[in-house]
Amino acid sequence: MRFQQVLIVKPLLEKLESGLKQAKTGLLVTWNNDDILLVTGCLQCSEKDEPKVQFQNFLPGGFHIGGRFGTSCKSIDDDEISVQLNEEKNVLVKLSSNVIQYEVVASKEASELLDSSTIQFCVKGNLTTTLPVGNGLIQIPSEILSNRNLAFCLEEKKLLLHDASDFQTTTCESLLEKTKGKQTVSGSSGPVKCKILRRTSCHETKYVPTIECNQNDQKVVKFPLCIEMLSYVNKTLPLNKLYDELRNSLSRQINSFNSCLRKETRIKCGVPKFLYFQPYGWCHPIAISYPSNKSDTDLLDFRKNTLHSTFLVPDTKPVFRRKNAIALFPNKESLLLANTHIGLPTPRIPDGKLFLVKGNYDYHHYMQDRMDDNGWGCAYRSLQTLISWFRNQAYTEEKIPTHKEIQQILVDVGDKPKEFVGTRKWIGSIEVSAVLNQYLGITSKIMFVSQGSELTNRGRELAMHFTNQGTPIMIGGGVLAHTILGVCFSETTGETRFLILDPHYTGGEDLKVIQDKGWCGWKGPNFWNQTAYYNLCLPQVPEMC
Amino acid sequence: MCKVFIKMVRIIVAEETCAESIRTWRKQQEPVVGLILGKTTSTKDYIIKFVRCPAKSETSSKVLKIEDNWVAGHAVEVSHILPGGISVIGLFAVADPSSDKTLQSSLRQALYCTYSFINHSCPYKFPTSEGPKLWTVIHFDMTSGRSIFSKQFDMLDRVSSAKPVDLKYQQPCSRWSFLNSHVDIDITIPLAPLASTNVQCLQAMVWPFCDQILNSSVLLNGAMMNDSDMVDPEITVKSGKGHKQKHKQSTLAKWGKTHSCEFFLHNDDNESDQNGIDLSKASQCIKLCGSFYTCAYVPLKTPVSEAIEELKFDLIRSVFRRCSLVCEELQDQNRQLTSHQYVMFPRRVGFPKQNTDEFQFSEYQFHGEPLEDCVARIQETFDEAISVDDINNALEEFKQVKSTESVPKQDTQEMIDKDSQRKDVQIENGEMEEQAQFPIRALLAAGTAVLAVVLSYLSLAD
Repeated sequence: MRFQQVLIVKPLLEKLESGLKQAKTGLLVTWNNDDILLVTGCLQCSEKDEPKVQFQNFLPGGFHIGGRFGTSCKSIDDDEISVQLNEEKNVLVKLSSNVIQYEVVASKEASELLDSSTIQFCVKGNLTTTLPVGNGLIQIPSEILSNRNLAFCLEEKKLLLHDASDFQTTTCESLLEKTKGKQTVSGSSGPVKCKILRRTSCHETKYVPTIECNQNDQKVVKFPLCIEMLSYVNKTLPLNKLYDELRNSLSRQINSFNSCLRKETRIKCGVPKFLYFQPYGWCHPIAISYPSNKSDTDLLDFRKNTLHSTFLVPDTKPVFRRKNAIALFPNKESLLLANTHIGLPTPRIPDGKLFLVKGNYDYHHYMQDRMDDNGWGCAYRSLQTLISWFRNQAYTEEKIPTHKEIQQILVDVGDKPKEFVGTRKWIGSIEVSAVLNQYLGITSKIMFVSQGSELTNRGRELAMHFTNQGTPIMIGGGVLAHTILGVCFSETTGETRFLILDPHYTGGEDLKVIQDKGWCGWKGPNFWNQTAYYNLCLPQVPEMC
Repeated sequence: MCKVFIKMVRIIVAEETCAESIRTWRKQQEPVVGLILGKTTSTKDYIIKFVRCPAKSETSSKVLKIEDNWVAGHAVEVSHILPGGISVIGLFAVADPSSDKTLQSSLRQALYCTYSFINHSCPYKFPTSEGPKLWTVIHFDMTSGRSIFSKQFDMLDRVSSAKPVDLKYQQPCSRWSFLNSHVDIDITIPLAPLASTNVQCLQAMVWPFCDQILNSSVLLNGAMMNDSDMVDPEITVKSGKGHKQKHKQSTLAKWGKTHSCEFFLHNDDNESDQNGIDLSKASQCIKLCGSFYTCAYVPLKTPVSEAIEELKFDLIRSVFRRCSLVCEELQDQNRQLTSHQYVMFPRRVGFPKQNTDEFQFSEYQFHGEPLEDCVARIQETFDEAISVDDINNALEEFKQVKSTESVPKQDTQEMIDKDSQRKDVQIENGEMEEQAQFPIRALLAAGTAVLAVVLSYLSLAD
């Protein structure tokens, strides 16, 4: 066997097993270096489908279509891996038609393997160009990449890669080295930022510039071509080959743009934009280009019929909406802190298991948005945190409503009289569920607890909620509202701890203060007012994609 | 403790050859006004050449009369000839010592006028560096040749008082590094949104390119340098005790390193906001394709960032100068840029000859224009006796175009006459071209030089 090890990511193997039992077929996504072959994902398609190079455009640089899965896998090339079921319905993995031994690894381990063996390049550039329009269709010519004037600049490393650059024997790993005094140490392997530049000295003959007016009828348009690309490059790759490697990754993006453009038949042609997504179970992002002039709603059919089915992702929750995308070049525009519970120590209770919110939320609290709501706005803030979760998980594109807008919604549904708008009146769990329903179409379960002391007996129910729904919970009781982000529940003793996000915080966005002072933290049963009654609003996720 | 403050007088170092020029002109016993060419830095200034302004009238006069616009107009013409890093940095006069009092104020006035003319001669606005911009005036005694006064004024401050500057001669005045590059341009843009005038059309093409040049990354001899590195670092040698000492050469070599540079363009403008393209708005296109030669000189102790900036400025100035020449030419013929199939930019030719121990300056030659015309222009504006053999025309080449395509759609008798003249000249030059686009540019007499400046200023100033 060519490789010392063949690894398959665990969630993928599970997906393949169930897929194969339903007679599904498709392609396998692989990464490899000299020793290891890692199977990271699968793409469902029939064997007759488009050539597999089309599917390659979904993958970041460094990943390949390296095999097939299916019942027969007849058209398998040499050197490719195949996954099929044997007669006993067990998974059989073959490499070059020979059955091989493989190991199963968790997604996290696979990510770590990739981190330690590759350098991730985040490449950005603007290749805006003038394109000819023929038959109402535009395509980006491949010359845009074959031109010798493409260059990549690694500013931090003071390195410029182009067609004629020569680095002799060094490998890409040398890019990670940092010089500390006289010692050269291996640096951290965060993504390396890289910019696309245009080389200007590649013609041999130095002709004086000439203006040429196009006299034939060829018509052109200026076409914005903004590139944001991710590429995994093996550390052992010679630095001399890095230019070609990055250019090849770029060609996938251009191909993807072109297939996106081919679907555009209207006069108003959408500018394709490349987005990266990491669906559950994948250890690396995948790339999809969308026409910018179409909304997520316009693209529902494409997501449902093409993406969810190709990636074998259930179409019950949003995965490929724009808001689900990963930012390769994050801009720190958001003023709010997100996921403030990350980094908190786990409560120590015997047999305690963690059940936490699934996904990202923003921390809304008193005094934000130049709004003095100290003393009355806690439930409004908790509601905003809940809505932020639905936004961040791409269930909605609605903006976060202000206090006044929340009040207006309550007036609109008939819950409150007109005079309510603009007051400083409190709201409770019932109102929160009404707003969620009216504003986002989200239904909620309401849980009543007549005494705070009873909450400790609701650990199992709350754990169930976080397992099945994973949404943050708003809880109101007495004069206070809070957000529950998770529970630590012991099956054996029934002991429960609550992960609380407190909207009564009036300070600045300082994570250390928030965690150290317990504004976000684990609380015991005594946290609740033992005699007051509590209402909990448990939002239910809708099925959509 | 007593602190003593010593006010440092700035030093301006001139090449020995400059003193020779003064000696020559002094002997002619005629007052002279002219331009100081060189380089200003934050610590000291360098003079590489004095250039006399041509006389306005044929009749010679024993009394020096400085006409601001005349001097400034000449300075603009000269500035087009200079390589990057070298510029007009002041004015000098060789005159009778008795004229001292009035001379300083009239030189000062002409100095500000010259600065303003040069500043407006290129429509592109360059980023300005902080701090004062000091230009110099020097008055040489016609009888002794010694400087009677040498003063500096801040060009950014109209009411700045004169600061004394110490003039010294030194051969060479500094060690100079040379940077050069060929920068390819390849732009195709839709014609539709362009305004109809030639100037607007050209500017729509070159302006974004020049913006990109300004932000570009430049490699020196294939390497990406730190901004603060020196272009030509001084060699330090370790002495026996391990102390680093500057290696002092007994005589400073005039020429330091020559750096071959390469430009890489960033395209940062944020066009990603555009969601859709209206294909029905597609239009015909105009294309600009070719290669520009650019070069710059920098003195010792110039950081890389500054040297690269000089190179970029030279390129941008050269691009805009050529645009202005093309526009003038089209205007003379009363024609539209878009009515031609091909329009060639004039090419940059160098002088004096390579391998001489001198700075290289440059002129622009139109396709089909005999080199003799260039030489005549140089002699006129640059006060330099050169011949056709001194011209280095290998910096840029004219592209051969098919005769049927290159001929503009115009056939006046005048054109035909000029065409036939041109053909004769071309054969003489041994540069046989089938056809050329432009008639020979008329020799720029000194008077028209000023006119051209004003015209180009008017036509290109937005």
